[in-house]
Amino acid sequence: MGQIEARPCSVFKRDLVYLFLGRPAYRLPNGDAKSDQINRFPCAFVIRPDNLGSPFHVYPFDTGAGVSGCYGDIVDPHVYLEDYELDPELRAAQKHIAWAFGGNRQYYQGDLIPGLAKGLHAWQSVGLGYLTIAGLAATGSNRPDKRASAIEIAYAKHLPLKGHVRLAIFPQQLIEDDRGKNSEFVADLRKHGLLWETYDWRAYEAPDFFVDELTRIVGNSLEGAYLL
Amino acid sequence: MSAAEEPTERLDLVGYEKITEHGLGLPVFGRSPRPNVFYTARCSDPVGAGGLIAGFDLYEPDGLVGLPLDQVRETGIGEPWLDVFLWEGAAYVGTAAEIWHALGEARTSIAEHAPLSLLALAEGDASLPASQLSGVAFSWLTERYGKQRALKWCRDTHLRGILLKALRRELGNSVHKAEMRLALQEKLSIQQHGNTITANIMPPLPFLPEVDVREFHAAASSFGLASACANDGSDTSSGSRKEKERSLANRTTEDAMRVAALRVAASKPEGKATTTELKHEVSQYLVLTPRDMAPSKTRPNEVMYQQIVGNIVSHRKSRNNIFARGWAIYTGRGIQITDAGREYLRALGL
Repeated sequence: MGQIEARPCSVFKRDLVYLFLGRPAYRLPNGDAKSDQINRFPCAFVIRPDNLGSPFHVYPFDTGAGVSGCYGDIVDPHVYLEDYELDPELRAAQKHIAWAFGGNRQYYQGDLIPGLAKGLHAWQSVGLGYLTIAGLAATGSNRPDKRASAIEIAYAKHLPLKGHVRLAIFPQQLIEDDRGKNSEFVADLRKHGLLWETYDWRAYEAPDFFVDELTRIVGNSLEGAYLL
Repeated sequence: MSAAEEPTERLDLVGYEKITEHGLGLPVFGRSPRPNVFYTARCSDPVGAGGLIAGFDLYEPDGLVGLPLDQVRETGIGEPWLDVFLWEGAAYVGTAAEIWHALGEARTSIAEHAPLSLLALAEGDASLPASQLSGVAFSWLTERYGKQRALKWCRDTHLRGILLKALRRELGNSVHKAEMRLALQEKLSIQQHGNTITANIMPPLPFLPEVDVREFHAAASSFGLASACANDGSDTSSGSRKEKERSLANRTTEDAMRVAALRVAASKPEGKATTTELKHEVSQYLVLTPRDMAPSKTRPNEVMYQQIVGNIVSHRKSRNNIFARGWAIYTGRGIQITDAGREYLRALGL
């Protein structure tokens, strides 16, 4: 449990660690339909970015979901992915939140400032394209996918957990039966002094339920730290 | 038509994916005992336990563990939910009750090392002793991770889980709406003041039936915790809405508290209840308001309604109290309901 490893990224052709700013936004778009392990057994780490150095890149949405077509045919085909990239620094993400959402809480819920598109000219296709994509994450969207406006921050290095993790969230089974495989996990939790929370995993729950549980727990943690 | 698109009314339970080496795993299904297209089951009940298989969804396993052929089991839509439970290298397959009985003596060892998992299994069938196991889980957490961690589990996972399940049942299919998903995260809150757990259910969440609120109180009581529930969710019946709006604005009256205190005493052997029992259990007979549950300004670790209950016992010289009216006598540690008190409750239809 020492670090989050950078893994090969087929889009950007290098080893990267992907994080989302302030949100556990990891899922496939149809929570009740086709799914895989990450939807069914999610874990989340809330990371303090203060001492991680500069990110490799910052995007205003999940690029992986965009490349795999999760945002559907609403994406402007004349705008390239890299056109959406923000400056590779956390301050750029903060500025983006202020412009698009108005505050951290609204960003957390994925609710854009109403009427933003009216303030843009027709030729500002990147801004308009972004607002169309990000609208998919709004609470009132008919196909809400929080990744559509979750700010993606990628680091081109492994991220050590110690000193950088403010909270780890995982299924409560992992803190039980420390006679075998879980013993190392439980020992690491204690050794690193990590704050952790668990959720109640059930086989019959759909992936949406786990998304909501993680969102609630992370939201409570951020509220407790006066970040929401 | 590809294999994945063919109708999936009947499938075989062929394997599972696991979080770790023990406890419940994710059952994985296929069209044959050794398929190459996989599915997970969807449950008919939004909170699952005891539900039926309502359908199958495509799934991409990452670490599928196949079941031995003699454990592969055919099932289909409309049939009981099936679980896979892992313990000491063996996989147990079936309904929660079937697995429970198949585990036999191993349950003792599971309760000792993985009580949360055993509780999760027991919650899958109403005939299994989930409430006793919640106490075992609490003790285990206290011993392993400390009292604060155990209390947090009790409050945020177990007790909140009881209300969350009830709310999801009330919501039915609306539970999938984005507005309700957000409300379940933000409008159901559980707080703890000293030894008292207070739950707040706010609109647009639905108003919960009393039977569900009672289950919450009973569960809290089993941990020695007093509990209160401001059940202020949306209710479409106009009559009760007026009642609720009134209760939201005010504290519960002392008269109502007296009746509730008498009901607590009436439920006890010999009709005797200590002041502590009254403070812990009176909330089972009332719909408390947020003002009732505001922290007491004079008594740390108590909320307002508990202070009022204390006053009912201690202000024995008041002309309108239960003692002056002959409904109860003071025992030195609390109250004992009299025959007149029981008659008064009967007259109220209680």
